[in-house]
Amino acid sequence: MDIRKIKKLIELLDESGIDEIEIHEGEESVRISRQSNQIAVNAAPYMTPQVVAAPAPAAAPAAPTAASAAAEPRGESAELMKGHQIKSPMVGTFYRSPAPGNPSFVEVGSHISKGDTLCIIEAMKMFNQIDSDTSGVIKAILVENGEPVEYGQPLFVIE
Amino acid sequence: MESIQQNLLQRLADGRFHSGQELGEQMGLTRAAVWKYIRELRGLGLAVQSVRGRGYRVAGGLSLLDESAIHQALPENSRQRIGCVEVFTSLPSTSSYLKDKPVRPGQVAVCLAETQTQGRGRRGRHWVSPFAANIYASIKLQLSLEQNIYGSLSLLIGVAICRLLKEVGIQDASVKWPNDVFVNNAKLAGVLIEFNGEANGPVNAVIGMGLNVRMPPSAGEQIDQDWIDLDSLIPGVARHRNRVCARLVDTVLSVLEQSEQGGVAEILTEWRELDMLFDREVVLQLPNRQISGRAAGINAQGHLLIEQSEGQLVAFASGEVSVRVAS
Repeated sequence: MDIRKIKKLIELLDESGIDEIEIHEGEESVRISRQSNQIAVNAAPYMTPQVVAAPAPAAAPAAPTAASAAAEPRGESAELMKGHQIKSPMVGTFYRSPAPGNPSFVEVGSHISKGDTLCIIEAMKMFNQIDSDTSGVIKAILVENGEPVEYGQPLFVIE
Repeated sequence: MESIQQNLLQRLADGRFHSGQELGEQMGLTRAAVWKYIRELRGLGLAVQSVRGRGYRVAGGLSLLDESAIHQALPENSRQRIGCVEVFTSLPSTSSYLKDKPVRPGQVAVCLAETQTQGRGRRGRHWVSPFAANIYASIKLQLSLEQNIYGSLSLLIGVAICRLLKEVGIQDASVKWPNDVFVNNAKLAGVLIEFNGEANGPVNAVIGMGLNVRMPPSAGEQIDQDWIDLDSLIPGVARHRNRVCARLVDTVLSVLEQSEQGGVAEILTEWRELDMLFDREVVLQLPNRQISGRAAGINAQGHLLIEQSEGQLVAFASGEVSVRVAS
């Protein structure tokens, strides 16, 4: 499925009050659901012939979903989420430092400028360095180091 | 500075003895200055022998990277897409060098080095980069988020390297998810891709590739897994390192072009045919846990599918996978 379509669907969901959308298109399907303040994309078009025994495509998660952000109680988290959110541009693993043993790029309370590196998201040995598109103070870091993240999942709140 | 060093390298490349006096006269340097440059080359990891009464030599000679030879070996359409091919004697890392170099949409930048002092693998790991022995190449380009190349780039590059290997006569290369290239169960090439760019803008991708051409045994000892090099598979190929570089760059560009024209799914099908782990028992190491199961190929996004229990497939975007050793 085209990434643009998925982006559109997420925007659609974001604007509406709906909690979940599921779209089927030929062999592919995508389910986008809202879990508290987090949007998780479960895109699981198993197209390989050997997976006939697999359950219905949309039922299996594309990647283990991160529960850390979703686990926050709703009221408290709504307050925490206020501010400029930095969201994950891809499915992958969230890293707070450039390499194991190195200090984290930022901590809660760090003053940052536009263009400063906040974290790295890794998927398939592709390391995506996420730079801040704004200046401010890190108010919240929503994901633990080394945890999986979904497309569009909020990572940081900056104010 | 660099040009004196390169001048000296070119003289030593023939593998014969050259006395300090001869080199000094040819290059307009004192013998002490020649010695200083020889020491510099040794500092880069080059084994320069010195024998009293005969002079200096590099046993076996050297096939040095040559910007114009690489450029000339590229087909016209690739040459047009590449602004220039930059070759360095030594860099911290070819990918770090390109990171700060701007590229225009549609153009690519290519950089190669004889050695890297801080060659990198996954998550801060070292990529062993002995001097004038292998290929360390990086290619930078701009991708728009809308292109679905972005998500599967890693696998596409693995396919590109296998295509190159087929072209030079190696038929049995395979890929370990996502893109390590193996021949005879030993690693021949590795890829590391780095993206950067602000949220919602175009993404700069730097594709770093390491291909073992003729690994000196002393350097090979530093590698913590089984490895193999091109010259042991095709004896003599190390002499044509420039041509191999040009073919590598061209093959990557043609895979990118095919992807831009809607060929991603096709290339992923090709990847499945190269899948080294398919149907094998594997262990996937994630930062905070470990998954065991049977490798069941990849999904349309290129994520690794693992069957943990009967019929239950889970896709993983990250992690380091290895064949499970029976205990």
